[in-house]
Amino acid sequence: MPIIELENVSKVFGFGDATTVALDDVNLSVEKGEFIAIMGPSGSGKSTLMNVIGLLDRPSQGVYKLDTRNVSRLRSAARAKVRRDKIGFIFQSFNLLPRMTVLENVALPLAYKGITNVRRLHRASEILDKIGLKTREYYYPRQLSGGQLQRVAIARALINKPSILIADEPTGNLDSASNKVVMNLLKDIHKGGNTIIMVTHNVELTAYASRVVYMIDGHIHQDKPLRENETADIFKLHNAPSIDKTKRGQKKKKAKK
Amino acid sequence: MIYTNVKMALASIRSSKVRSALTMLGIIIGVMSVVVTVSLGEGVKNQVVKQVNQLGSDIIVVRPGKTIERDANGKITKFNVVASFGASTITEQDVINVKKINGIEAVAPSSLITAAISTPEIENYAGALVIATTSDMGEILNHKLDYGDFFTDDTSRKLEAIIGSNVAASVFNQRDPIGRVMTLRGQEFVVRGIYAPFPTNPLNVGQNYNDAVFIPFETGKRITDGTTEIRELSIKASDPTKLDELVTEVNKTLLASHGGQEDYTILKQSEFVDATNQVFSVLTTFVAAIAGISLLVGGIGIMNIMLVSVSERTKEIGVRKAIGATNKQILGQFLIEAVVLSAMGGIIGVILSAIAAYIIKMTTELTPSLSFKTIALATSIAVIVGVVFGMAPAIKAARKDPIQALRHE
Repeated sequence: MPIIELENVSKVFGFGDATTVALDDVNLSVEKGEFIAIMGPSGSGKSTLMNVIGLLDRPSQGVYKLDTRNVSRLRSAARAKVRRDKIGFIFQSFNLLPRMTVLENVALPLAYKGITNVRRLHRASEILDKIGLKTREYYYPRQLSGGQLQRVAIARALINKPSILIADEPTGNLDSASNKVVMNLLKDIHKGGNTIIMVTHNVELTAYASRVVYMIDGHIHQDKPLRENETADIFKLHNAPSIDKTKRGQKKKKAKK
Repeated sequence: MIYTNVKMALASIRSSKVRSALTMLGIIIGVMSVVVTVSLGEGVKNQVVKQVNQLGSDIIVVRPGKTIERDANGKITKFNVVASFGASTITEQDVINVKKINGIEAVAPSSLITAAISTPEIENYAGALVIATTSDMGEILNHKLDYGDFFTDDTSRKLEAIIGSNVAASVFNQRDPIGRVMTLRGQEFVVRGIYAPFPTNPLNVGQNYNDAVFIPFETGKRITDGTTEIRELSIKASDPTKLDELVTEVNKTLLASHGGQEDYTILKQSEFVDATNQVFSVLTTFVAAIAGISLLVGGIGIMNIMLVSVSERTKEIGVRKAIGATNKQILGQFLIEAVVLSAMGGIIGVILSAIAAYIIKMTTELTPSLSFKTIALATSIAVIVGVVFGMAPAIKAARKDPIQALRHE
């Protein structure tokens, strides 16, 4: 049973002449335990796809099933709860709250679940211990290095034991050493059975992924599995014929008629 | 969750101390002005009540002129102070008639005698209120004399005086001038008694007997060649619970001897209290309402700062939403922050007004009374201000689109 299932999902912004189709009839199915790299040029709809999967945004059309539950038409409060319970976000710029300690930052998602302070901090401490940052618990984000910050952010994303982790350019702000540390952490998490969806421009990172989804103009252009340590060939992906060209071609013909 | 929010609110207040302090200042000033005015009003009211009650709740006072109007229930509806300045129609015969009424313990007429006092220490001291009255006055005042005693019926024609504590200090420059002589309208009066200080209030509703010189009624008549008028009739009831019946009786008696004309005013001590209470409640409410405007301004300050804070923390809001905060939880967070800010302002305001009240008490005659009720009222107003003015920024924060907010730098 796929953990994520998108059926004919479209996302349209704006009205009239200013209409932009960010996602055009996307079909995507992700099994539990996959590590998917979403790639594509700027404006190809990667971010929108990520926002829809992460329930930050609602599709204009189509059905999105997360853990077999249709979540495409949920209201904002219900979506917030699904985000809280099933999705962990990792951002390019870490997005830790500067006024809170590392421990409090990691524990924050639990606060929105209504778990008591002591238990929150206890759980956060456990997770930080696992990723080797227990000694930095009472540091403030400004006192940590980029690599450490991203690991803290990963700890925060993991604290609710989410079904999927969504990483948006997780190494975009990191040097190559930290880059490796963070990606190895994600690899470990993946090996532990977690599903990861990563949006990136960096082809190197696809070495860690089990599958690459290449997007152009709001639709999935290519969707290929990757062997272990295999890096996607972005040229090949870009120049290959679109996997749903036929369908789109039909549409255009219809429009001409 | 609330605990966490309060903690986060405190952290965010701490992180911008100066700004938070300036924001709170509005609330602090607002709460302070409300608390100080209300407690001043309460304090003055208490002092008036104390002074009036000191005379006893069993006292009825009759004054010349129809100075008040009453409705059907006997409640005072109108004051006409000018009416009391007309010629007095209260006569000595009235005193005799009233005395015959059952249930009366003492009746004392009071005449005011305009006279300057001369002693070896001071020439023509005009600050004293010279009252010619009978020995019953001693009983009616029922106040402790520090030295000596009040004059009796036997001495009603003698040149004797009982003086208040202020007079003793002013004209003799000593606390116990027993047996000393003071000159009044060319007559030499011997000081027979000195009253212990009467409680006063800063407004001096009613007479301040600390400035009084009591002389025998007959003596007073003699030294003025019988030109004095009776300005007041003080009546003491033997049973305070039957005061209303007594008022009716006195009224009947006086009406009969005044040919059916009500050219006098009968007042109970409690009515003095009611009247001052009435005046003061209106005044205090009015001033407090004006002070409340500064609370309003303080509230607008909070709203302003919270709006700035919401824009500055757009990214934070986006992050919180991404990790699962619902709109309601974001609303709660910012609302609590506003309330914490205003409540802190309120508490600081109350503490400062307690200090201000203490300073006022020490340096002036006023004794502000800071009641728990006032404190609770001011603090809850501050909290309400926080909720009301924190609502708009909190709603703004809650409605932010998480994607836009995350993109915000």
